[in-house]
Amino acid sequence: MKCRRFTERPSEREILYSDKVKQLIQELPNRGKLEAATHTSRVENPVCGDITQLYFRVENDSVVESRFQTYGCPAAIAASAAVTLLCRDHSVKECLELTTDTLLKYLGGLPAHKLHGAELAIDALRSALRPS
Amino acid sequence: MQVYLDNNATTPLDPEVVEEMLKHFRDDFGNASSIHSYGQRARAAVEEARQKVAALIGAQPREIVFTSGGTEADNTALRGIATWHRKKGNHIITNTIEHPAVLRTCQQLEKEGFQVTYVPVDNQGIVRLEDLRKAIKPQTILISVMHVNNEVGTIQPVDEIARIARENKILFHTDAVQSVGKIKVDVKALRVDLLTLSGHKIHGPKGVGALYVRQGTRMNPLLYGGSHERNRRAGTENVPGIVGLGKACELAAGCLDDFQGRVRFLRDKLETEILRRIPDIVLNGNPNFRAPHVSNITFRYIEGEGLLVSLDFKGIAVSTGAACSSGSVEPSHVLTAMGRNSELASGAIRFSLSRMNIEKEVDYLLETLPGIIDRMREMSPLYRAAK
Ligand SMILES: Cc1ncc(COP(=O)(O)O)c(C=O)c1O
Repeated sequence: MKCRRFTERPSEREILYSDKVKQLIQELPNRGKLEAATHTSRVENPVCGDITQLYFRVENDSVVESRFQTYGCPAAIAASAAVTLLCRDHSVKECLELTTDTLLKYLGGLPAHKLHGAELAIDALRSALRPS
Repeated sequence: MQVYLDNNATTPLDPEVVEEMLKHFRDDFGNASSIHSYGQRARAAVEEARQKVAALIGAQPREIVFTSGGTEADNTALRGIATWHRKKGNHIITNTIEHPAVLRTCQQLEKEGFQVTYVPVDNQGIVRLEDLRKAIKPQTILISVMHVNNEVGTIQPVDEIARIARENKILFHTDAVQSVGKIKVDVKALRVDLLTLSGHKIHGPKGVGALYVRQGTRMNPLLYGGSHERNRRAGTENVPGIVGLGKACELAAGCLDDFQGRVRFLRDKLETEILRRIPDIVLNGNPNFRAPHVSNITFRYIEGEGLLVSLDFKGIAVSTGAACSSGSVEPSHVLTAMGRNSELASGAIRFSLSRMNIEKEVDYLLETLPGIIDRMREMSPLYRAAK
């Protein structure tokens, strides 16, 4: 019999959300508005209606506080929360270098049809911290 | 704690059903069409199951056709009637909140030259009878309206619709997958011509269901082959599955009172306590004409799927009204047809109970849910904006 080739590990195809995503959804770290923010953004995915707002307090070129508010699917929520965690204590330049791939690795992957959640969070990050 | 509140998706098998099925998987493996004793034992089991299914819905055993589930029964009813009666007319009436097994079949029939009218529902999910009456044409051959809606639990006035159909000499089919075994369903009282039921919604196995076909109803089969099921459905009978469906129907017949009493009490407790403990909530469905095991609630300002994942983390299984896929939210077609905008449809959660749920489980949900909702609303950009 011909050997069956998998393009992904079966377990990865079956599982919708990684444990990391589930944990982030459960804890929602850094949720809510940050009144003292120095940099903010609000990005909306016009197709699916997901909205993400990011808040950063930057001091001496370093992100000292970060928060998020998201309306959308678990992928968008987890990605936004992850961005706030990943940016903390990093320079603005380092934050702007954060890519969708790095974010996805941190999240333990997202289902293929939910990748736009990570893109939304990265868009929001860049729109908040990009030098105007 | 593990709490399963997604019984409209599927139900756990009753252990008694499993026992009966195992016997036929293991020992009585015969083909029910065989003449020898192996076959005869299988035949006897199939016919006994047919009697039990018929008894649950007040039908004659010969009016029961076993299928591979609700989907096949719906397809058989629509396509079987449509193609047989095509010379008489090519028009079918259904409505906007049917299960995809009906809606998609109708859409396909449209491509094949049939005309289909999708009658709207009111904002509580009840088919508008006036619109249904107006939709009738001389060419109308079939009306199909589900008994209980799977998402919101609304009960349609199928007896009245059956009467309208009868007065106009039109055949009437109802998808009763979510009502059989939960509320009283009697095909003679409802006077329907065709009725769909499915095993796995009543603690029976998946992949087996039945179509009730009133005696004398003329139609084509969906599958052609051997002369099984009185030429209505070809294919060697799925004996263990059919036996399981029969057992499930027998058990369900004895549990209808339990649904009206205990299950309804649990559903009402779940609903009234959620309403009491959590603000900014919208109930979906008709509170009066509703099956006793379903509650569909919109939690405003949050999206259902995140809530679902959060509840799952705590061991609670429910389902949501919207599926966000490929970058586009597809809000439930049922809630949309009921006039809910995409925010209200996206925040909808369906709690569906069975006779296997206990009060402790509902209490656990009620303890767990408010904290999760608070946290998710804190996170929602829509919540602050609205306050
Ligand atoms: C109303 C309704 N009709 C039909 C079906 C399909 O039944 P089955 O899963 O047995 O094919 C379902 C269940 O998914 C249902 O809820």
